[in-house]
Amino acid sequence: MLNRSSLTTPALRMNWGALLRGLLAGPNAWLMQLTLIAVVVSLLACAYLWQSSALRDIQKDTRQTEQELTDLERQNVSLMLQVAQWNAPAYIEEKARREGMVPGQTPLAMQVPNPAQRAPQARSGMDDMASRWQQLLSRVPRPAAVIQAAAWIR
Amino acid sequence: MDEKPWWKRNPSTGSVPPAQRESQRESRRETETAPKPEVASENPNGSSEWISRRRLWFLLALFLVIVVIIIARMAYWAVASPAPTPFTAAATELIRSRIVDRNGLLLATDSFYWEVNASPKAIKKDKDPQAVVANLARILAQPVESIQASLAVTGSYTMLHRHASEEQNKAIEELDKPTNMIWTDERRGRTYPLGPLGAHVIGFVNYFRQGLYGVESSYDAWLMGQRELSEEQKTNKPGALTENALLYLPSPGRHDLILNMDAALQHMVEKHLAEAVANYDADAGTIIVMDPRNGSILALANNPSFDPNHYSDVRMERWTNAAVSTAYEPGSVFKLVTMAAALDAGEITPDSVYPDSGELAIDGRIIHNADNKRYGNVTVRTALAKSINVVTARICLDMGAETFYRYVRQFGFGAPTEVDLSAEESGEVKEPGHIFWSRFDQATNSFGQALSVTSMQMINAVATIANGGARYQPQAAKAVVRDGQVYNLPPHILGYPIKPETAHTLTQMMVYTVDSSSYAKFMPGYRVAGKTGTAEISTAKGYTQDTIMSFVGFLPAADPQLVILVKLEKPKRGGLWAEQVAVPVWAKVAQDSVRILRVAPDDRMP
Repeated sequence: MLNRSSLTTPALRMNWGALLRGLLAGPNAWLMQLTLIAVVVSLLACAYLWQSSALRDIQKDTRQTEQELTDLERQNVSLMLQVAQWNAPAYIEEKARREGMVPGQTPLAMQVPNPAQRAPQARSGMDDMASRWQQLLSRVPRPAAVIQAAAWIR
Repeated sequence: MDEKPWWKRNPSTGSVPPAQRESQRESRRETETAPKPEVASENPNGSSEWISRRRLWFLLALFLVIVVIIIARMAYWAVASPAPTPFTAAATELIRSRIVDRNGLLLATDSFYWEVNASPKAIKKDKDPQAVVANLARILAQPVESIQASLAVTGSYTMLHRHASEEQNKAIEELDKPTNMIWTDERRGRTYPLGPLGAHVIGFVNYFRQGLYGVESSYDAWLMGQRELSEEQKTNKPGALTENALLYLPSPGRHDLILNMDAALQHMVEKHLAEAVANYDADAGTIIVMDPRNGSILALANNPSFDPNHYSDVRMERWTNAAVSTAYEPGSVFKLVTMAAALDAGEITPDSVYPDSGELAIDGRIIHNADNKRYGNVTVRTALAKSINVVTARICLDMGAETFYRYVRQFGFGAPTEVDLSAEESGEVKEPGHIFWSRFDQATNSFGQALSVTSMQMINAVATIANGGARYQPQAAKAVVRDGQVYNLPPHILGYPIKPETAHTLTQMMVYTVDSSSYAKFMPGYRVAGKTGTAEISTAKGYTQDTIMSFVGFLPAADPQLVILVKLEKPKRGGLWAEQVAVPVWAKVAQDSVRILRVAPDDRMP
């Protein structure tokens, strides 16, 4: 009868103890020991240097990323400061004053004729220009500054 | 069985039993004594020495390979590896978070600037040092003499400019000079985009970006990310940022601050204050707008002021927030506290009648009315409206020192208001037991002399009357923002100095004061409760002709939403009384306040 265990391939196992005993045997055992220690130390040094190198690379990448972040933040702050200054009450007041939106001044009003309300045969070159004005004005968003100015400047 | 670890075992015996080991030794001895066969010496493959040498060579070779790898790696680092990316101090400095107003308008943010450095030695060795100096002067917008003076120092390093802009930095880089001659260092700095607006509330930071004044100082740890939310704040459900605030927040620092200040109102308040100081030729002035329902500081202005972007351009005195750091004698405005104490203690009613003979003698010293008039028998209501010193002093003496000073303390005088602004003064209130206190002091204290208060203490006391008797901690900050989540700072009640009925009665008396004055109806559509104060300024030689004029009032009287204090120091034009100088300024501020803060007209009596 076949034994089930005899059919399985025996696992090839490394006998590290025997290997070391073999290395340390013989007439040059002391030299062998020294060399083995040197090899082990060198291997550890190598591993350390390799890891240091990897760490250095990571640090370099981190620095570069931080610098990129700072550059982006600088650009962002620069734009943000412009927006803040455009929304500054003093700037809005000055702008409103220039446009006559404060008490005691005559507001400037621009009247643009609406060409859509006129008959096609009556359209002229002026109407075309007015039409272009209408299109342009419809595309220009109302600045936040003007909306805010209307709220708090009489 | 041999239990020794492998490194202690004899390599020649291993784990062989002693008897077997002895027989092995015997056979080895026989082998050694026996003549060696010739084959063994000719064929070294079977020799243990040869095997040992082979192993040794193998290990030495392995060692050499590893050493070569290490040397190669180090050589790569030293020669072939690219230099690390130069990084600036700005990239590693801690980020300071941003401050916005209640509508999300940016008030303070981190920004970037460059320090321009140079080596005088290297410049002297240059082919054309004069051209270098001229270029530096042009780029840094400084006189050539100034640059030359900076370079005249001994040593290998001097700083030519502390706050160079990005454009200046680029221009210097384009000079194409070696980095050991001229170089720039990018640094983080603080920018206040609205300039002097709200300077005394916001404060500023020093070169090391430590907050020195205002909320920059009181919230320094929070803004630097060195403090976390309290357990109480964590339990509150956070809110979302408004659309306006999303333009600027959250900042990279993730610990931002939202103020109660309304930038538009602050601008108008500062403008009215500057005009008033100029028109009345005053030395200084202060205006505070507060929400009496929670102690929020909506606007706070002092004149003269400064631009926190260039704080070192002015004298240090200008950095002081006079509203919280400067104590003064409040004058007749303080009669409100005396009346509140007497009403709350049940000593008087508005209709109680007191005789006024125009003067009151106390311990050999005489108190006069400010206008030197004699009013005869007057009610308490009239005494407040006409600001009669003699009657007020009489009421105060009648209620007793213990009662009067207890209420003075409960209103928060003589102690900080705990406002979240730095360098707060307590003012000075002498009480019985003080070596220099006398009954005369109590009498003069009743109408705001011989004691000192800060503007913040005064407006907070009036806010207490306005809101029905609760004394709130004044708050410049509205909320903190953590990772874009808004955590509101809840209002803190510090005490209840007077009963709601007392506050209501006193409010009616204050409305009567305004309505029966020469400045009645100065706020069409709104019922105002208020009190003027014209206080002589005391010096070491006694009281002078110089005055501090103030007006404190709130509106709408039936449902107070705003309390405003206007104080002008030493006005030399406009009139002798606060109603001629401070009240018109108050009216302008109030008109702007109700419009900007959308306070609906309300003319009801309280």
